Amino acid sequence: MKLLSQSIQKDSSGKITLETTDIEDIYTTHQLLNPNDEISLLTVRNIKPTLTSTTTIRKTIHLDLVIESIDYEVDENTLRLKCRTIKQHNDVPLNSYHTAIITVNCKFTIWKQIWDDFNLNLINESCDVMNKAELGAVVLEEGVAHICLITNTVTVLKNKIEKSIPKKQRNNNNHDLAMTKFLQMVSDSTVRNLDLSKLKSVLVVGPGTISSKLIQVIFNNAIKENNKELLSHKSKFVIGHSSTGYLQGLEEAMKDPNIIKLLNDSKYSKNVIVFDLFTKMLNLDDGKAWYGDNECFKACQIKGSVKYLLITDTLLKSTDLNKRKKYTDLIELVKEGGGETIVFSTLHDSGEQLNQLTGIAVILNYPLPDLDESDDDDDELE
Amino acid sequence: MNDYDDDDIIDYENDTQAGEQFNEDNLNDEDYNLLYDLLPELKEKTKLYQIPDDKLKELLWLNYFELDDTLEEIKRDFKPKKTTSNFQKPSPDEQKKELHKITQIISGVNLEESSKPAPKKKLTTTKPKTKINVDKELQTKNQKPNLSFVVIGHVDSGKSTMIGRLLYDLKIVDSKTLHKLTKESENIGKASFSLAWIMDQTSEERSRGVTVDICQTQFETETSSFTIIDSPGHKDYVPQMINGVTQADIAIVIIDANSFESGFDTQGQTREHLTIAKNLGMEKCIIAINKMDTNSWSEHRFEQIRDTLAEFLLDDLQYEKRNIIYIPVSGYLGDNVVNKVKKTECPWYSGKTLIEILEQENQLVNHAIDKESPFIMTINDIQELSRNDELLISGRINSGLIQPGESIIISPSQETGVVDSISITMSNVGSSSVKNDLQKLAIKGEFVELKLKKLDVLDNIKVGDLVTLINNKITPVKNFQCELNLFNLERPLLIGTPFILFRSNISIPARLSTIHSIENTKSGKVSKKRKHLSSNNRAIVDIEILDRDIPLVTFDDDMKLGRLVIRKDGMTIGAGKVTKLL
Repeated sequence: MKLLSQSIQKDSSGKITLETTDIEDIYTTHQLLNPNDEISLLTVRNIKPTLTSTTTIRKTIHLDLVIESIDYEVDENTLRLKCRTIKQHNDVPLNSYHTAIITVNCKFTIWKQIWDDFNLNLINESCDVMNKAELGAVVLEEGVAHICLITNTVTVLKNKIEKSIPKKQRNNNNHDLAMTKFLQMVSDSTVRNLDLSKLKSVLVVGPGTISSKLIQVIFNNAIKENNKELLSHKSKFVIGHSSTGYLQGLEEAMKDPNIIKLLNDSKYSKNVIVFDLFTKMLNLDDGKAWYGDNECFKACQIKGSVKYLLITDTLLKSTDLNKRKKYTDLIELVKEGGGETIVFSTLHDSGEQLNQLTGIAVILNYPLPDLDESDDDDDELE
Repeated sequence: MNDYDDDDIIDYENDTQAGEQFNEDNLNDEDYNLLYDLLPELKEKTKLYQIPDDKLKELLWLNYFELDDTLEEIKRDFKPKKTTSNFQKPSPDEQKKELHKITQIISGVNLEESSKPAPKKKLTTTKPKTKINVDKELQTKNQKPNLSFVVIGHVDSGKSTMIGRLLYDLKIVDSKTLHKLTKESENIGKASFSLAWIMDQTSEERSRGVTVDICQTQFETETSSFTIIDSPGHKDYVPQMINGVTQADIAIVIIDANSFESGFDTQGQTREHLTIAKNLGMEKCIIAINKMDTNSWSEHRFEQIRDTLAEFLLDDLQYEKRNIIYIPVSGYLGDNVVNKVKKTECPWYSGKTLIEILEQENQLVNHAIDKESPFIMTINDIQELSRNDELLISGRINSGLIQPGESIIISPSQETGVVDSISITMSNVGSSSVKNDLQKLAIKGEFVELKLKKLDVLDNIKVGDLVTLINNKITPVKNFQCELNLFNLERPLLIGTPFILFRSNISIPARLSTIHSIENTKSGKVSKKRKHLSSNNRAIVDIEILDRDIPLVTFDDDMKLGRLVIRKDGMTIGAGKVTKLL
């Protein structure tokens, strides 16, 4: 993301001009925008040149719009904004509906009633080039492979390959033939879908020896085709272990200490580790891990008790301004008490799981076993 | 940018007043169909406005057939007209009732059926090709009943070698074949694997010395017919082992007497395999304590292992004592497999050999076939044939019986076809020739190959699909309720946590969607609303399958198919019974 200009008034209202530079920024923009925000940007529209003409022409025009709803197409990396115009334009009357699309390399200016810390931090983070680390991943087992791209906030499934593999039999080698063909398909698709020059590393995970076999196939092909560029990226391939070829195998592999070391500066792997820590502590049931609004707010009131606050982006992006303020204040409170807040993207598996668990959780420095008991009393009082 | 989204109502409204753009007849076919698809709904929603059809069509066209936008425009530009006709309509209360009725009707409608284009073929049952006396046929089959065994246990406990020995000593593998294998295995320095290579055939399995996939072999002795399934012991291949267990009646558990403890700790597969077997309905276990020759047939060691195992089997897994048989063996040397161990070596064991136990079990099992139970078969392997409407599917018949000529339907794809022939393959290990016995009838428990014909799309048929008679269609589901038993967990199972679900030979990602009630099996306490399950909980839960719809059968309908196992991060975390399809 590029920050082109910024002017924020004392009452926190104001406008910021941004330019998206990669797919990660689409996500950030999605996080920033809310209904009733105003946006101005260059956009394409079908316009009738005269009142009576039957044909329309496509024109690129600059529009000022107020946002009504937002759709995020993760797989297409586009943001569709359903808007109404708020300024008269030569070709477009006031209050007309228009759908604006934001993709990579779009410039736009956002006006908001209130820019809160969460918003500004998002912009700061996404403008920091050092923060960017994209990771490729192939998760596979016999007959199923998933090829995906992992950024700090999104897991994009680039391709899924399925092939039925016959069982081993005494009188033929159909099994081996099908496996060779399957690995070849996965290898081709990996090279085609992942831009190795841009990726930090490529994680290949699966049960047994299948992941090392895939890497063997990829580089045997590279040698055959004399693909020097591909060969130069050989060190980027990392073998991990998982029990399955479905996407959840990725998180399983990320818990391996050796993989953690290799990916230690990726935000995603940190999320996975903290969430794993949370679930482990929840299983111990020693009063140091809690989820739910009531429990977390209570814990955060006790200064210094919270080690990590885990919160999903959906809560921070709530359309209800009061609710949003409630959570941003909570983050502030945790910060004052010396705790760390970790925002989970619901577009990753771990965030989605946290979302199912009310979206908010805490890991405490010391046990507070009665957090939910008093909660039960409250319930009864109500 | 897409034309679709640029709707500007006011701009276009001016045009409509000019009134010469829209002409229904000028539309292309696609738009024309779309128009008529949307019209009834729009009409329903704009009843109050009483707009003539022509105007509605025009409005739709102007809004690029976007229903919502059209409605918005109508709401802005037209005023609802109140007429006396409004009062002839049913009151809101009556409408509610009506709506309720409709909802009920709709909920009863099977979407799968209605959303599919009309079937090209008639869904009628077809008669068997030849008329046979079913009872008589069943009787002949019952003279030599088939029993299926799965061999399970920790990695390197000697499962494949044991089966290889069994087949060799029963003369199903000739010495020429074994000699060849011995030579080959010596070449790569793995001479002790020669017997295992009878079962492990792929290059990967041979070079690594590890079984990867299950391998089933049918063989006969004088009195009985058997199917024996070799399964992998390695941790990574538990999914394949689960597949093997679902096709078996009884489990043979191989224990390495030398390294029993490492296989039996919390990470070892002896424990995991036994837990899976019990939870998939395997009520009988033969525990073969192997490699006794390297332990100089120590009775003390045998008893020590037996007692440790008994504690786990009887107390934790609730096996019945009479259903567990222990036997000391040496698979590599062949002692107590087919031939009895020499009394000089092992004076304290005077029980039966492994094959004698197997024959005895075969006689004990009730092979009576319930002719009334519906035919269900799980597809285990698929082979393409030269003609493109034919397919050879193999698997074990879960229940009922089938004859050539009958029409079948395959769930979830709902492909239909006709059974052309049924055959049972008797493996002649070693030689490349395969002996196919054509059958007039196949019954529950048999491993058969069905040649299907008159199929439409072969690609839709996958391993794990269920085959039924055409009048007994199984509708695939995405959500179901189940009674779940959790084992020892390292992390709790949260609502939304993805895991891998196993139903016979299907493995598929799924997650918890609702927890109805939780009971702690150790303390017996029933706890109220919680959003996570922890160790040893028994719970009634809803599970959502993430990838696609799969065919499921409730536990009440089929004691085997209605069971499932769930695993996460390479560990078996729970097992359950399907109670309700949602």
